[in-house]
Parts: sequence; structure tokens; C-alpha cells
Amino acid sequence: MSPSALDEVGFPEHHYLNAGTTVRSWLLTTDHKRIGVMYLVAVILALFLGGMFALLLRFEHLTPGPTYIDAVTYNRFFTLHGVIMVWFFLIPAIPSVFGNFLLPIMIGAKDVAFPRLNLASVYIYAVGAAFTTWAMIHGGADTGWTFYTPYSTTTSTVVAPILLGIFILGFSTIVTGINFIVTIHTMRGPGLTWMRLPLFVWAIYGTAIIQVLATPVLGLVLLLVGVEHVLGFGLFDPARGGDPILFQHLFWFYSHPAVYIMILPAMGVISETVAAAARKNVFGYRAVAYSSLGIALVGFFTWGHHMFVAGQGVFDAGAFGVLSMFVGIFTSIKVFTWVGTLYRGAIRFTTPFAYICGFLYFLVFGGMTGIAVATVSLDVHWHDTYFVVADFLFIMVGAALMGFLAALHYWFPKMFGRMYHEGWGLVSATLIILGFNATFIPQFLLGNLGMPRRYYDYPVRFQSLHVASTAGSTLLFFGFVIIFIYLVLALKYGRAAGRNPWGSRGFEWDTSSPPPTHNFEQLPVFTHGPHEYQLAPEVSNAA
Amino acid sequence: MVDTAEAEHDELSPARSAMIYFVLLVLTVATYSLSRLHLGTWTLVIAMVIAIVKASLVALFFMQLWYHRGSVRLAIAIAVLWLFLLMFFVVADVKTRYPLANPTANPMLVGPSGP
Amino acid sequence: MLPESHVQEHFANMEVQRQAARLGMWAFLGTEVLLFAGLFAAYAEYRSLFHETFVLSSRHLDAIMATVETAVLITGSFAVVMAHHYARSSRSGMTCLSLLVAVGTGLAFLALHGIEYVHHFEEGALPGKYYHFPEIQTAGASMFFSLYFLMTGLHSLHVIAGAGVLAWLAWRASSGEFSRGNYNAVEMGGLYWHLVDVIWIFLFPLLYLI
Repeated sequence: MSPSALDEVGFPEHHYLNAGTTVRSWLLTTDHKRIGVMYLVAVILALFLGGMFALLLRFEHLTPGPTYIDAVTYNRFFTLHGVIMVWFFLIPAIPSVFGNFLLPIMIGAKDVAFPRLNLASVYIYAVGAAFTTWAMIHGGADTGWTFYTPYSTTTSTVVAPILLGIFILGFSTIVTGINFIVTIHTMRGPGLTWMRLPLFVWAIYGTAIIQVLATPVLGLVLLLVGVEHVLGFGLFDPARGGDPILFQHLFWFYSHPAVYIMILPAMGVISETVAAAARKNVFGYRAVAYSSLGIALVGFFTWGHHMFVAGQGVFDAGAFGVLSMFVGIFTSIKVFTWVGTLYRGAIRFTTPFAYICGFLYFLVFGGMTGIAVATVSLDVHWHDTYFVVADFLFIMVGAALMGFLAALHYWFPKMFGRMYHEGWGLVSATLIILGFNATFIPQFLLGNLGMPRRYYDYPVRFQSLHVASTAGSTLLFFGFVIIFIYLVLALKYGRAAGRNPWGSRGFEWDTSSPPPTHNFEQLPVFTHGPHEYQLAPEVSNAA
Repeated sequence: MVDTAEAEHDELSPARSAMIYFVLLVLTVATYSLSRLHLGTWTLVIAMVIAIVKASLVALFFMQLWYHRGSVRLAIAIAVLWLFLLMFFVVADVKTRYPLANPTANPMLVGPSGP
Repeated sequence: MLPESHVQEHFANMEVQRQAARLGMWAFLGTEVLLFAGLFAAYAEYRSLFHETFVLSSRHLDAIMATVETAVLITGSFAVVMAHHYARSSRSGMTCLSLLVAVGTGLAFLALHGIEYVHHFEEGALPGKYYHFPEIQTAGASMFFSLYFLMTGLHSLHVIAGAGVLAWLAWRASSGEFSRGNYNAVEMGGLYWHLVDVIWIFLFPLLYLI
């Protein structure tokens, strides 16, 4: 694929951002790049809101007993924190922002398969967010983001609008997933075989499969909870022969694969940025590609590990324990290939690379605690304690959020044509990684000592660890504020990045930064594999 | 020139679809008649087999899966497999649970209306 | 009207557009299968727990009515297949008529189902806390009817949606929109209708013929 004829440095005159500057041209756009930018604004708002609730929780935990809010408010805060972070930030963050922006460009297409549906997904997200915000203003539910029955079907707090908001949001996820699957299957450019797809595309493909298979089950179970709450159908009510554990089966059938929706795209980002940072061919391309599919599919066989102490049958407990260990194999494959790619690479320590380092550490460390809690006997001790909280936050915040930040810093010049201040980038990455450790390592210790999750009060002997965790969260907060500031400033004052500031061999860097509305001056033809920094020995020997 | 990839013989003809329609109606009546025989558990097993045959006829011919490429067949096959995945583990749970944890063992369960 | 003019800008040609529409619709049908999956799982669990009560309650449903309903939906599927055939043959009038026949079968299905529902309302065979049917008072009876109403209710919503889609397609067909080079929409609408039929093919024995 030959680079476009545009300048190597300097800003293109016509691109997707200035092609139409009216509000209407944005609100009615079918350009996948503009849709990606709109999602970026949305998820940043969600991250801010969800993060604010997290800080409020942490400040309450500075002292045992009431600090500044009461217990019911505390319950409402952790419910809203979970709902917003899971559904309005983590699930859409990388796929709907970077997947939308980059997928067509990476495969040499002008847009996704169904551009109008793509726009519809943004509005569906907005409607879902509106219902959830409405619920929030009216006090919000106090059930936790997991809505376990029978409490969720009998509580007097505002459950139904939140359920409706999430139900509607689910359609946004499904539509995005269908769009990506069809795009990848039918719109690859000439010469782009499956085994030449960029690894980010493989990751998005796996993610899309999960989105399509899992989300409908969530839709149904939330509908059932709503119907029981409002109409009393008794599907989960023990007095009428109902089974609360059935709710958990249906809920976790979606919610476990959901965490792979959150982490798999981040892994795709890391595959891209690792190759670019090391400027070396990917070690074990096929292993990474197939492991993305492996995670997508095998991730569905593990949901019962959330129910080890709920009372499920012994067959399920045993099977889910073993299968949960099995799914870890695919992540390990990826970690080995990333390290293998970095080994003997020509690494430049840039901000994206700082996030890669953070990601690798948090993924391995957090992932290992995941394998540990998959052991039924150990989970009996750790279930519903801060150990589990720290486990999933190591992956969700430590790994997935680092992946998002890596993507943001790596593709910022591609999306906006400008570079941010590298010094501040490294400072905030350091703050975030340090702050993260300070926030969540105390939580592992707390959980192991017996501090339950979702508890408003605690024995005074846990206080120093809670204070340490809160201090760390403040550090995290400052890191994010700094990032926000320098990125917004870079939009206007950053130096022009040029087409390819990283010297990356990713296909998306062959077109200008920012790209034109139709992505390319001329549609690319693919003559070589992705992430190719070195020629194959036969070729270089012949030269 | 359009549709060069789809020759006439690769599509479902009206004659064939009428025949399949007739078969589906016959199978429907058969399912009902079978249930009147009251064979116990076997009623449902045979009824489900017939249902699978009917659904396959609709999917393969009315929905043209017989004539179309692999990715479409794979998509629906995985969805159906996943349906069985969910059902399997739910039923396996109930069958291997500590008996007092099952809904049937609930002492509050007095008839359908509850307290 | 040249067939190429129906090709959307981001697709290379009509064949790619058709494959994309087809894969997209089948992926969507997959999501519908998984939507019902949770209800089938709930049914499997509660049936295994309350087997005798489920058998009793099922005997109480009108199996003959349900058999007729099944035949009606299958007829609708056949009508939709014919509509697809006529659209590809550029016969607008017959396309429109076939689609309207299918819509008619959908409405007939809903009417028959409605009669069933009214009957259950009158006897008190209702879901959850509304259940007060004196003939069957064993544990699990209200659960059977909760599942019955949820599964058939969700299915009926899909029948309504499908009928709506087909009616809209019939209206477009009446203005001569579909032809040999442009019949995607009829095929896609038809696929949705067939799925609604397939779901009922399974609901029928599970609920009525235990």
C-alpha cells in the first residue's frame, strides 16, 4: 500500500473535521470517523461521571461509620458507579470510539457496512444515557450494578428506569457489533486476506462476536426483572417457586463475556502499539489472531465462577472452575507474543509505551488473581470481599483503561492531526500508574483480611488501608485531569503531527492525518502483511 | 449485468417451496396427533425432533441457507449452540444442587399464590 | 432504472451490498435466538422442577387452537417465500399481494392467540401473583403460566413487528419499487418473518403438547 501524495509533515487542507462545520452536519453524519469522535465525547463524560462517584465512595471510606453520607446514599453511589462505568464507559470505550474510527481505514473501506445504523447507535446510546441520568437524579437504585434478585425485584428505589436505560443501551452495542462483523467479512480491500488483517481488527472482530451473542441475554434478564418488579410475575420469587439463582445464571451469561468486551479491544490496542513502539514484526501473529477468537468464544463457558457461593449445583461449580482457568491460556499467549515482539526491538519510550508497560503489569498481576479466585475453595474466602473488587479493577482500570489511554495517545495525531505535549504525557502516565497501585493494592490486602465489598461501615483496624486507597485515588484523579487539559490544548495548539509521527507500519498511517472524509485519496491495494517492519529473509536476501 | 453469481438453479423454486409447505403442514398435524397418544416423556422427545426437522426445512429452504455461503450458516449455528450452552448449564445446576437449595424445597412454597 | 443505482456508495457493487445485508440480517436473527434463549432456559429449569404441574397446566391449554396457529404461521412463511420469488421476477402486483397475505396470517395468528388469552383471563390462569385458577393449585402452576405468557407474549410482539415490516414492504412493492436488480429488502423482511415462524415451531410443542 503506497503512502498518499500528501505532505509528510504539515496539515492537510481538507479532512473529515472541516468537511461541513454546521451542527447539522455532525448530528446527521454517517461518517464513521465523526461518529467515533462523538462517542469519544460521550465516553469521556461517562468516565468523568463514573469516576466522580468512585471518588465519593472513597471519601466516605476515609473513616469507619458515617463520614459525610448515609448508608442508603452509599449504596446508590456504588450502584451508579458500576452502571455508568460498565455500560456507558468500558463497553463502548474502545470499540465505539477507535473501532468506529479505524476499522474501515485499516481494511481499505470507505465506511462501515451500515453507516446509518452506525449513526442510530449513537442516538440509542444517548437515549439509554438519558433514562439512566433521569433515574440518577431521582435517587437511583441501591441494588448494585448486578441487580440481584430478590432485592432488585422488591426494592422501592428507582430500578425500572435504570433497567430501561441499560436495555436500550444494549441495542447500541448489538448494532455496533453487527456492523463490525459484516464490515470485516464483506468489505476488506483487494489483497487483504484474513491473515493480513491488523491485530486490532482481529480484536474488534472477537469483541463484536461477543457483543452480538451476549447482549440479548442481558436484555431479556433485565426485562424479566422489570416485569417482576412492576407486575409481580414471580419468575425469581421463591414463594412462587422461583429461583434467584436463575437470575444469576442469565445475568452472568452476559456479564462475564462483557468483561471480555472490555478487555479484548484493549489487547488489540496493545498489539498495535507494541509493534509500533518496538518497530519490529509481531512475534506470533497467528497466535494473537486466533487467541482473540479463543477469548471471544471460551469466555462464554465460564460465567458460573461468579456463583461459587450462591448455591449452584456441584457439576456447574466444578466445570466453571476448570473452564475459567482454561480461558486464561489465551491471555497468556498474547502476553508472551507481546513480550516476544518487544524483545530486541528498537523501542522508543513514548507516552503510549508508558501505558503499554502499565498495561502488561496490571494485566498479568490482575489476571493471576483472576486465576486464583477461579479456584472454588479460595473463592469461598474471597467472594464479596475487596479482593474481588481489586481483582476486577486491576483488569478494568489497570488494563482496559490503560489500553484506552494508550489508544488515545497513539491515535490522537491520526484523529486530530496534532501532537500533544510529550513531557506532560509521561508525567500523567506516571501519576496514573503510581496512583493506581496506591489505590488498589491496599484493596487486595483489605479483601484478604476480610473487608466486605459494598459495605458502608468497617472495623477501625482497616482504616489505614482505606485511607491509603483513597489517597491513591486522588492521585489517579489528578493524572486524568492533566491528560484532559493537555489533550484539549493540543486540539488547538498542538504542533502538526504529519501523516505518520510514529513511523508505524499500521495501514491506517498510510492515509493523511486527519484523514479525508472518504478515508483515502485512492482506495488502497494490500500487498503485504500488517505490522511489517522487516522484510522476510527470502526477500531481503534476494535484494 | 447483475446477479452473475446467482444462477436460477441456485434459488428456491416455487414448486419446491410449495412442496416444503405441504410437508410442514403434515408434520404439524403429526405433532398434534402424536401428543394425543400420551406417550409420557417420549411425546416431548419426538415432538422436539419433529420441530427440529420443521425448523431445519424453514431455515435451509425458505430462508435459503441451503444455497448460501458459509459465514451465514456459521453465524446461526453458533447462536443455536449458545442457546444450548445456556440451557445445559442451567439444567445441570438444578439437577446437581444441594436439594434444600432448590425452589421445590422452599417451606414457604404453599401452592401457586404464596403467602 | 439501472440496478447499479441501488448500490450504496460505500459498497463496491450490488453483490457485496447483498452479502452484507444478508450477513447483517442473519447476525440480527442470531441475537433474536439468544433473546429467547433465556426464556427457554427458564422453561427448562422450572419444567424439570415442577414436572407434574407443568404437564397438568399444559393439558389445560388449547392444543387444537395452537395447531391451527402453527399452520397459519407456516402459511405466512410460504407467502413470504412467494413474495421473494415475485420480487425477483419483477412482478410488483403479486409481490404486494403475497406480502399482504403474510400480514393477514400474522393478524389471524394474533386474533387466535388473543382468544386464548381472553379464555385464560376469565378462568384466572394468569402469571405470578394474579394466578387464581381453582382447578390447578399445586406449586409451580403460576410459574407455568408466567412462562406461558412471557414466551408467547414476547413472541407475539415479534409477530406484530414482523407484520409491520411486511406491511411496509407491501406498500413499497405496490409502487413498483422491487425488481430483479433490487429485492434485498423483501428478502431481509422475509428472513425476519421466517424466524418468527421458527420460534413458534418450538414454542408450540413445549407449551401445548407436554
